Amino acid sequence: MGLMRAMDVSASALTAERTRLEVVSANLANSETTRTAEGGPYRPREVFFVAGPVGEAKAGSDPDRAIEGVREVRVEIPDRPPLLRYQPGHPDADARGYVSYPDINKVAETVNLMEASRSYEANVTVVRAVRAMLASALNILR
Amino acid sequence: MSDILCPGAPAALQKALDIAAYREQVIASNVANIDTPGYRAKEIDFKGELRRAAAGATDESIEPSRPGATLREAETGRLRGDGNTVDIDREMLNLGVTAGFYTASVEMIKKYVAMMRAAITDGRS
Repeated sequence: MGLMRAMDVSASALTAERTRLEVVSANLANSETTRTAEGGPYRPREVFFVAGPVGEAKAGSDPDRAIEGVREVRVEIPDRPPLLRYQPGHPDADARGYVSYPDINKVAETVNLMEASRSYEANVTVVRAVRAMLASALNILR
Repeated sequence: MSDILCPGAPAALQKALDIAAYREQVIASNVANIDTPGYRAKEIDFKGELRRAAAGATDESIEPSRPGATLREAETGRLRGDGNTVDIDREMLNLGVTAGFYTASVEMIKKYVAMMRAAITDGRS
């Protein structure tokens, strides 16, 4: 049924926005992390959404596939050089006394965080509206 | 069936529900992709589709359009740096309008069913 597909679409976006929130919080949490398992400072992640058919529509006909959700959430590690701070006493300081910190812009990450949470709310609003429509359709039989 | 109960009405109302549900899907899709780079907002010609459905219900010569046949790119007048054209305010407005329209159509179907019931039971139900 059509309205169920709207739910699938919104659900895909909710998942995507939540992933984005998680990535942003990981970036903020690790903004001072100088040591990681793969060596070197933490490398900030970035999230990209890719539109496409989701749920049942994946195998559907063209009009179904035209209704796109967020098909894929890509988490990429952009190649950004670390920030160097002069801290000779630090255990992770290099030979010249510089420590590599991840290049994380806290303001940009915070804006990202707010954007993700607003978009999440917008999708919740859609889910509520669709749910109300489904409930009213069931009312026909009453 | 007498003409008083206008036989085209349930078909037109059913089509109206289909169109509203399809429009809601398009809106859900636009809202879902508000942060997708390069996504172009889509829309259907809601009023035009409804007019065609209403005409098609009484005049068999008018071919009802398939859902999705008229999906087009919305001209929202917005273009973000990442190529996304979704206007959230517009989508939220349309969301409310469409949901209201859907509920109104459901109410009319309920009234129609009540009328049929009254006719069947000789007005004594």
